[in-house]
Amino acid sequence: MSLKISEEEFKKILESGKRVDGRAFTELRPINIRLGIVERAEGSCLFEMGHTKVLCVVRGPTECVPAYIADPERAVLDVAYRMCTFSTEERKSPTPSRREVELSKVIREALEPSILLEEFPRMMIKVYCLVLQADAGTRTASINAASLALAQAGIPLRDLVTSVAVGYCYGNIVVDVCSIEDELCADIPIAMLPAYRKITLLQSDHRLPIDRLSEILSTAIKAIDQIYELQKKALKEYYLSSTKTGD
Amino acid sequence: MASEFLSSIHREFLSNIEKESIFSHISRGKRLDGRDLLEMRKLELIPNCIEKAEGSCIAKLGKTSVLAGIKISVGPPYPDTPNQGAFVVNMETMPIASPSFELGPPNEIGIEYARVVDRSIRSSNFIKLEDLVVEPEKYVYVMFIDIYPINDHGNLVDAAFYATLGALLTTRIPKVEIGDKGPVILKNETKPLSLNIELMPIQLTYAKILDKIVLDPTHQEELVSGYKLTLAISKNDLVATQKSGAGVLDIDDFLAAVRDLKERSNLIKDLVLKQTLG
Repeated sequence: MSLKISEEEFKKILESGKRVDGRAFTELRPINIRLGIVERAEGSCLFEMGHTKVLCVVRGPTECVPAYIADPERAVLDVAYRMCTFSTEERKSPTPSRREVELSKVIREALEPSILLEEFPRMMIKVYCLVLQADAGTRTASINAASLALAQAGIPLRDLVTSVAVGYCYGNIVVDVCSIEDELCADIPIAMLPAYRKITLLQSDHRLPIDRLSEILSTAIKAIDQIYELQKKALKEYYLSSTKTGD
Repeated sequence: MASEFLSSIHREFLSNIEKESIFSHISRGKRLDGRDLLEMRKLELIPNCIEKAEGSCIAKLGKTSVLAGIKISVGPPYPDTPNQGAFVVNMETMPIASPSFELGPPNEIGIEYARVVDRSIRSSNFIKLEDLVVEPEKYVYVMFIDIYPINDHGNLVDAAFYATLGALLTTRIPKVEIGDKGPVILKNETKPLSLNIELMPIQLTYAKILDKIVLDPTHQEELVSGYKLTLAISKNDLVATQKSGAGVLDIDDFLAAVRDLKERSNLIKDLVLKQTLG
């Protein structure tokens, strides 16, 4: 995991049509989804993407606290994204960083369009994402996990939200970046309502040639469609197994 | 209990009559202040307004105004970039600029905007960080870029960006000598900050209102918008993207906004350089 590699070696591997971890350019890391693993929560999901592991819990709809932020027309959505101190190579301080505050906001805004918040005026829906292990793509894994936890909690949704980070490495477009790629290339996290073809999260912070943007987005959408199928499958399996046990 | 950052923000309201009047103008391709949908407010930069700062600038975007100042110190480099200077962008959100801000540490919006401005500047390689080294692997210049909104009449994030750009363009780096007790800053001997002017980023923010995209939203427009999209380009590359707000974005709107920014960037670049370097 903590494999170090020089830029030259990295480029050489890309030129051979492969990626540092042996994947093809548009190949996702193995995804493992478990639902309903926190008994005291209305919804919960453990979402693993390669070495990245995120646990997400949904509580509510519940009373809005503090009451003055209640909205008479819709529920308030509160999202907190946090990382375990041991989730990274170097210990992360438990105090929320500026990055965690920003990610809580963008994750909230990525989930909000999917939820029928107007069904629960004056209430609050809470989403807590905890990164257990970080190996790139923690915000996208958090969104995938949160959306499934919301569905499992029985909160009415327009669609699931599905998210992936695409990378742009020396002219190549790669899907679902790993941590080495995250360090050496541009990564573009995207979240969508797949059934509506609408984007709910989009960020970037590296040089991206303008004439490749459309290709980058369409590559991301193909990957999102694959993850969306896995999300739906996990939900179905969860409901089938929970009805089988009776009650 | 809600996360501290959600509860630190007052919810602002717009009367239905104001909302409807914005909508009816926008659906006819006009805006309340008379602008066209893709028209920016007047950008005005007032550099060197704080003598004690190594760089400073007020940026006005219509009635929105923001002050940015830069202080420089010397310290050890980050372990992963031993031969590069460092900079940090921070934005305070005092109740001076808006009734929705409260005293206390920067709120969610302040943190987001500071990080967006940081990414626009950093990923463009506008600042020649390799020139900000005092003694390789030991001492580098550290620039603290602090942004104070003065009046929030909408699109603070772009005003903050241009204030930062103006401050960087006029920053003077003091000379540093390494004495027995470590580095000594010589405030009287300064030189301009070394910048890659040809890579200067240009940032603009678009907002989705109804089914239309407007450039440089006002405060009222922000309250009724679905999302805001902040983009920065440098030469022919997109260097920063941030979708902010809970609306949904169409791919075509994103690509159209990038094209619009590309078309405008040279004009804005000339304006910024003229108002700062003369």
